[in-house]
Amino acid sequence: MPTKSIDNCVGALLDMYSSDKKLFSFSSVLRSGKIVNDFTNPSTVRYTINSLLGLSQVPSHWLRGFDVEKETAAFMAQNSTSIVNAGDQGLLLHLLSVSAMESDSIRRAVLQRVRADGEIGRLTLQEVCWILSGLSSSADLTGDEESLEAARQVAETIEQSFLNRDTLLPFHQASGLRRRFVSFGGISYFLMALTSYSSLAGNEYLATVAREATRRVIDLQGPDGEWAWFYDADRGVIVDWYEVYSVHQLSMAQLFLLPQHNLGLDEAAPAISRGTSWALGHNQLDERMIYDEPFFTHRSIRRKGPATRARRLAGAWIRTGTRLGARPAPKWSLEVNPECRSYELGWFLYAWAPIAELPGTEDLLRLK
Amino acid sequence: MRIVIFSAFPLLDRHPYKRRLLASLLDQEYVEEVAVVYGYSSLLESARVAKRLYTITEGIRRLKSSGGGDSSERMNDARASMGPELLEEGSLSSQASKLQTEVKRFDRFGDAACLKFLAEWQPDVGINLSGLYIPEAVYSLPEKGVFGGHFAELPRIRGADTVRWTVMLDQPMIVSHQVLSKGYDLGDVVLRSRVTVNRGDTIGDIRAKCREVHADGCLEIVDSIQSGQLVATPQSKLEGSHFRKMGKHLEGAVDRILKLERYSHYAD
Repeated sequence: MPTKSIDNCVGALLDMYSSDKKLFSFSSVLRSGKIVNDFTNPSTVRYTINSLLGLSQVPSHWLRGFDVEKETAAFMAQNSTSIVNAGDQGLLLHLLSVSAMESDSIRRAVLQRVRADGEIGRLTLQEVCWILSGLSSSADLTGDEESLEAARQVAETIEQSFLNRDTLLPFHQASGLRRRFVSFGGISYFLMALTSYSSLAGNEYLATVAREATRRVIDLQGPDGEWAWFYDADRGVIVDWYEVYSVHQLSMAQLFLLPQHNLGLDEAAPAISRGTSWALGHNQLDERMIYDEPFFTHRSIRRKGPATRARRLAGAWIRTGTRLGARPAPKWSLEVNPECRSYELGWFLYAWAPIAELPGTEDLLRLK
Repeated sequence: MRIVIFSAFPLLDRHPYKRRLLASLLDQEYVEEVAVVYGYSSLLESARVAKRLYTITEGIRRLKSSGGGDSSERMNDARASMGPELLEEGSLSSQASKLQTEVKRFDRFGDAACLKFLAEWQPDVGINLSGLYIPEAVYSLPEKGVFGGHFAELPRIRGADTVRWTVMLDQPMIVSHQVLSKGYDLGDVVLRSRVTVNRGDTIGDIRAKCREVHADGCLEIVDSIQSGQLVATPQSKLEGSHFRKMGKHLEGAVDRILKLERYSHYAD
């Protein structure tokens, strides 16, 4: 049941929390039924914002006494010197806005970045999209005109510098060697930000781009419902399928598919269904990637062997040079990556908690 | 009434609707004189603009279509109604010369020489057939303003590739005439005219029909100015969206919509 899954997911996520550090873990593994956490990576700051954002969407009676507002304020006070990345600031503004918390200082910091000459164009897609999401929710929920104008500027930069109009896929960066290679994560944040901004601003052009780009991405969904990891925005093709991440299947695809489903895109619900089905075991390895009791998700199905990131990039360049398409790897060369990261549960809650009790959600998640 | 027609790229300026409009304007009793003013007249300027606006493939396609190149029977029927002298293929400038109409060529509309000519010629009305930006110094010269045709419904669909976006959004095809002003596609709207789209029409066919409706609209506007009945409705900047040039993926989608006749606003 989705409601039970939400409840269990909250429990698992709170097991990844350090009340001393005011941080959620970078990585967690399940050993003998217990969660073992690692807080050593600096990304814990980003993951904590993400986890708090997910928890902010959960009805308070499921939060087991965890006070999101109080813990967010404590996190900001204790880690203020670490919240310096533009994308993190954008995501934090989104969190503070959707939770109706005091956001003035972080809003000022984000507005300053938008006004700084050329700064937005130098960020990655993920960072610039999180800024747009933050400004959009700030403008939407507080009626702040400054945020709306800044959001308009950022959306314009995204449309002009980060969108390949020929393929409707976004670029990873406005310039640079990796520009054309975009991950599914980047695509998700791009479509999430564009869909919410275009609805807020009543921008029919960007709304149409978001809808048609969503259709385009759905067309690239794999035969088992998997969302490939790496895409060539210039050719509009997949350049590497792996790793196939559970968080993409269970949560991040829903960041744009659920809003598009609500806007009437017929193709969205079946795509959600196929994607979640992958995580429930309908995948190349026939492995379940999400467990309800104790709640836990396995991170990905990946190729075996070392230096996977370097191999992925090299493979993408080779396939681009030879104009070959990426193919699914043989089963024997794949394995499950058993770790879990807190942000993955954060996105799960963010995507599903607000609608867990709505009719039809069970069908979408196929958790019946 | 003294009317100036703004056009561009004189060497390629062979659209039949322009020649028809020029001849029809000269037929009106109240029209004293018409002048044709070209911007981007030199090859160098034409190449610069083309390079900025079009890819090589698109440039070649446009070159082909500038020869009056809409090949459907319907367009040939439309041309047949123009009168024998207009059936001769030729440019607007050669048509103007035949009709003893003044033709002036400038590198750009905002050139000092262009402004000097217009200031001395003192047009009452300007009609923009260039499809290009007309600077404020130019559009503020004619007393009644400069009018342009926009191939979509204003204010809803502003910007570029508007015929394709209209099909994509499944909206009725409209040509909106506006008074040119500072904001891009933000001028007061003086006329909205429905364009008939039939099953089997391609984007090229629809564009060609828009041009004919554009020419008819210009004649109607000039008539309304003469009779003092022209009504200009201001646009709100907050209404509508600015659409950008469509990329290949969506171009293909629009072509498929038309090919499969999935557009909802066919006349037949």
